[in-house]
Amino acid sequence: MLEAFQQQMRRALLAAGGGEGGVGVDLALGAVAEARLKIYRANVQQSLAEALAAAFPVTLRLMGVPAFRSAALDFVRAHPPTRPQLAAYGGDFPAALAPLDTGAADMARLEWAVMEAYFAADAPVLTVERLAAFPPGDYAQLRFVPHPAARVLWLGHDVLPLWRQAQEDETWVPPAPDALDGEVLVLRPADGIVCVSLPPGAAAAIQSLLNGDMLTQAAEAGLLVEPELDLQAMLHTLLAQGALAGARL
Amino acid sequence: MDTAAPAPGATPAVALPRRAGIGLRHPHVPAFLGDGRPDVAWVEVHSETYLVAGGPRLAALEAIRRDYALSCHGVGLSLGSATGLDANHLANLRQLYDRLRPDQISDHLAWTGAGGAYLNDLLPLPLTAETRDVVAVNIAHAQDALGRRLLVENPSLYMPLTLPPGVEAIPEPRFLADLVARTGCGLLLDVNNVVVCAHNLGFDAAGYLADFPLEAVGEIHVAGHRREAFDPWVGPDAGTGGVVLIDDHGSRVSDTVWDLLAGVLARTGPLPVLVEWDMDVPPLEVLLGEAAHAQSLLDGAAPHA
Repeated sequence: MLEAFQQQMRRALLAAGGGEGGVGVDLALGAVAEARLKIYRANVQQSLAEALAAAFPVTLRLMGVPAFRSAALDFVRAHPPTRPQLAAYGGDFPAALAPLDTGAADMARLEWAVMEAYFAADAPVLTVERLAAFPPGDYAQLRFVPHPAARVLWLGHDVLPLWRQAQEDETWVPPAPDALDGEVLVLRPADGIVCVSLPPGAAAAIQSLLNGDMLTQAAEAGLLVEPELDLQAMLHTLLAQGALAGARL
Repeated sequence: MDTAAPAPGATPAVALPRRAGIGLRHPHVPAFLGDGRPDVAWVEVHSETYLVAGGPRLAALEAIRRDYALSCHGVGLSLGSATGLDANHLANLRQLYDRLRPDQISDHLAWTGAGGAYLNDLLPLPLTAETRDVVAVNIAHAQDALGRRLLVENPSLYMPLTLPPGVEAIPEPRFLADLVARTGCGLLLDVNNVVVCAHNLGFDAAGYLADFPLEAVGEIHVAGHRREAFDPWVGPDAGTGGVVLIDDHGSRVSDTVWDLLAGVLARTGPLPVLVEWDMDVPPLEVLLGEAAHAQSLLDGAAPHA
């Protein structure tokens, strides 16, 4: 009886609208129980939608409350969390937004990367001094251990300036972002989250490094995209912002 | 599956300070990391909020834990799940608890998910012999996997469940006493939940507390609730005079709850008492004021042998 009850409840609690129509619960008999079931349904769906609102606050401001709320409730019903860790809930929400609003979807991708970086594992940071211990002749063969927080994003809208201004002013309503390709490196140095707008080619090179490729391979990947890519400046940025946790030959 | 029996004559240990504590919420974390340490005997966090790989949130809690006794209160074990506990979740909790070394851990007499979905609410259980067997096995499994004794909290309830003919309902205090006897777990008595359930399901709160196995209680919760005169999803609710109590932890503790707490403490002597406030979190001073009131009731309760 218990298992059947819980399966019926799960379907009833994730049902759309008022929950009417074929989602009865055998043990919830009578008008009071039916009415109270709606309290649980509202708690479940609204609290999960609020978890998404907390994870994607700038996306919410960009879309406006009604559009975000509707998209969030649809997502909650179709894709409830699979484990009791709300900090890990919402990774698929940006993709769910894409058919509705591609600009908002890009903002959501940036916010999710920030969220992941914020909760990523701690790791020591590769310093210039430790890197200098490797013989200069071996640099081309170096492979790096990425800091767990570091991630590269390829975006189709210029959302980073809007995200930055939204951090400064918590009531500001961002305009729709311009459709403009751009790459962003998200990091968590000691003092919090940093988002770096990358020059052409850098994203390809950095992603190659984060994948564990040799420095020479990463350079090739970057130079293929942008022959003028300044590899030294890129490496300097990675070291200065704590994007790398270690290096090995 | 066998469940562990308690040692004969064992008195459940009270692991937290027998004083007032508060729920630690994000807006108050900076105050706990600053110079003037808030004057409170212990803090409690929701375990699942800290199930993250690393970063500033976990680092802050580790720093605070060095200065304060800590209770880790789970909301996601789903002790009432008919299909058993989530092994990954248990492993993640074990890792967190081994890292934080909390003085006490707890979760609820409830279920929170089914069919692979986590529903983010403490859902009601039919209190039957079948459910008792399921929950007892799950508690024993959790205590084994976590390597710690668990306190199990009485939940807040909104919905009356109608059992099929011939299936007997076990009163909640007896149900909890049976779980203690079968698993050696302790209990977390949430006085606010008693008041909320008593109103919503139509029973007498004082009678419930008279039957409650207080000797197993290792911690007490108090919190505020909301009176919903008109439920926006439902309409006026004729079953309870048009008022539903919602356990939202979003306001001061009601006088009814304080009075019942004083009555419980008169019977038990001082126990760890937590003030929970989760919605519309007030300035820390307000929360500390509520804790001070709880402490005054604790000070008035004679120690028991």
